[in-house]
Amino acid sequence: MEILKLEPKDFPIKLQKIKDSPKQLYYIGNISLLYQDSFAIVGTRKITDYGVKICKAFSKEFSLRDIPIVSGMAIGTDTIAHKTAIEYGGGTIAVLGGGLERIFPVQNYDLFRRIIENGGLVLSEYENNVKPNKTTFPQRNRIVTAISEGVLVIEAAYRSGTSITANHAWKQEKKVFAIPGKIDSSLGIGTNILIKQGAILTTTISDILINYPQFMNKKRKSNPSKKIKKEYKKIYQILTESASSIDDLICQTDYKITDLLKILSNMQIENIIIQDMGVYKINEEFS
Amino acid sequence: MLSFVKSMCLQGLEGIIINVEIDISSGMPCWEIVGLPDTNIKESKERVRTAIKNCGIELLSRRYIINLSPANVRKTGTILDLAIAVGILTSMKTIKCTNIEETIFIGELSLDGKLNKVNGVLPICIEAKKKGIKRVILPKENVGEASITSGIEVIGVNNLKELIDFLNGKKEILKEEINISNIFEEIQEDLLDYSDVKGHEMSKRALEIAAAGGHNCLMFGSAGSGKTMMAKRFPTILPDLSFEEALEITKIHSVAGILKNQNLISKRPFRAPHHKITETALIGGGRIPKPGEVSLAHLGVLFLDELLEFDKKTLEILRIPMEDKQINITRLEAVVSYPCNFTTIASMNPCPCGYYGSKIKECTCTENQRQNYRAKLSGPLIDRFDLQVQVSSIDYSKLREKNIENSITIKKRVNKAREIQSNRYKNERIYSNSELTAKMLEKYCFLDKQIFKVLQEYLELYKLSNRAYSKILKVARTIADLAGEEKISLEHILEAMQYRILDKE
Repeated sequence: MEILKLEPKDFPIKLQKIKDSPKQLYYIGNISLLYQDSFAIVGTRKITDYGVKICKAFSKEFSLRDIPIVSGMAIGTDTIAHKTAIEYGGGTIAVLGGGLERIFPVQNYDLFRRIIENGGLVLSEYENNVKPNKTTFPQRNRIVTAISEGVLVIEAAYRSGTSITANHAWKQEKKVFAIPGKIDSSLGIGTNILIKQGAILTTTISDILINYPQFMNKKRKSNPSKKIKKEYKKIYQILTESASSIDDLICQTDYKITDLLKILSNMQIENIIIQDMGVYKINEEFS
Repeated sequence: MLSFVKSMCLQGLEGIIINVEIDISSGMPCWEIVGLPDTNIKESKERVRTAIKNCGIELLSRRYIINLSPANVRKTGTILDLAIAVGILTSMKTIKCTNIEETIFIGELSLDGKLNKVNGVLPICIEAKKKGIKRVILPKENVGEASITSGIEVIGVNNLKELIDFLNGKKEILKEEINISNIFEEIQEDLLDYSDVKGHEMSKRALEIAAAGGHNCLMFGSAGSGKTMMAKRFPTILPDLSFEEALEITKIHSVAGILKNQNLISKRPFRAPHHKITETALIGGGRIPKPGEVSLAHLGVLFLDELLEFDKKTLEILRIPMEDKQINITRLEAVVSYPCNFTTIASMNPCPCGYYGSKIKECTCTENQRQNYRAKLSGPLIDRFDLQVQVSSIDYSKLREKNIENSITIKKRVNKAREIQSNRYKNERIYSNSELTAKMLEKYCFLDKQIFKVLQEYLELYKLSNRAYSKILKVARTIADLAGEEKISLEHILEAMQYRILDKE
């Protein structure tokens, strides 16, 4: 993996025209993504289950329309946005708060590799061995917003890094979209305040797309879906209503335990359902 | 005059014959015990001297030299008291019997000459028999335990006086016979039964498989969902012990000195150490290494409640005994090895708040918190649990009335499956499917090409390790045995896959 340098004269116009445009960019991966119309997804590191679900759903919609997703490769929201983009074959750009030889956090090194292997782009304005710190993170957020057409905020705490990103976006005259949060949840406050300040309340992907003619023209790739076999129907129905454990399933059906286990294994092999720590869910890819 | 008497010491479960050599000669009066004795053996000279005196025998002021050979092995315990006393009395010609070549003497003396009970009698007798000893003379209280060994004459005596008379042919001591089958036939009534547990069919099935194949089982589920309740009933479905197995268990418990009033342990042990247990107590140790909880659970169950509350270090230490079924303890004075072929049953919460996956209360933990909590359990350790099941709180209003099986019905199936296994592994020196080695897997868990392909696909999909693969095979083997089928079929494999829900990417 070779680290390359991009001089300001080669920057896309969207990056050249911001006030404090970076002096240079270091990057690894597919640089052509930088010149496409992309979209940023940001949010808290302490993402909730609800946040994960929403983040995945929106990331998937962008990816199926071939719109690159820009984020910061932090844990939580950023990680999920990048991973979902990779999963659905969309491009993704990670803007780091430190040098490219200082991947942070360390546990995301694997993600870093996967982004590059899957045709994504990782970039940073810092020299290769610069350690990230609490000033570099907010700084890189201006690049995240600068190279994106707009920003979607999934979940945010009050006065967090995410609100800094939103402020950068507004300064750069970009639109900010926010998912409304629960009013009593600490991670719902941030997005709700953003909405009060003028962010666009977002509940579906079209809330975002109608603001961008260039996105409206993009066709959504279809999601391959299969027919459900007769023997799976009952379980499929229960699981579409809510994710369940085996004990729940056996309560709601007449299956013998050994038969139920067989069906679940088959459904897993066919990728219809996924299982996480004993809880079975419909594989969203499938639905 | 010089005399030789035999006794025996244990190093772990291995017996070493100790030759007690005694010489009484004229000269400056003294008592000397040589041959690497421990403090409690050095003290035995006071016990022996006083006991002989209190039997009405006068000890003359002479040079008493006692040598314990082999002199390079450190000896410990009060077990040699009797042999030393007999040796002295033989040297003094108070005991005129010369026919003690093939006899070992074990026992601790009281000051009044009474013989006290000692630990480790069963393994001593078994080892003695192996080494060609024909007769064991020991304290009366130990007779029951010792008589279990066949092919060796066991004589129990109450006190030193009685022994002198016996050896001089003045008194007869009747040999004791015990009926072993009686011990096994004793009706063991359990207060706990699986019919108390409503719902939870997944976990019950998993525990049935665990009992049948000796597999380790990890139950995780929200607080109050019934994990501990089920684990406590696990002993009621464990397969019956064979005589050889009972002997192995009794040997270890005898060495540990926890045999109480039983002669032979006829039930599989169920050990449930508290999570604050130290490493030494768990795997065994001490200056003179004693068996730990893992060895006391040999051929039985080690139940680890609230697995994640155990010290991380303590848990990791379990990895080797779980795999090797044997533990080697190295200390300054000895290297001993104890068997520890146990089934682990463990329970844990799925997340810090305890409600992930529960329908009754919503989990308030973040994904990150859950991951950190689970990270306490290392991958290699998770891998070692053949069966992993999720236990959820049951909403009793939704529960359909199905016939609830009781423990005896389940136990019958388990016993049958074990029988199939012990017949199959007659020549392999293992008892159950969980002990299969990689080579034996190829031999006994052969899969058709088609079935193998399905399993392969599943392993790739969920990125499971090689160990997970062999565990699925072993569990499938047990499922097939429970069904009484000779070949592993697709449905057995499909079921076995569902018991590996934690070791995913």
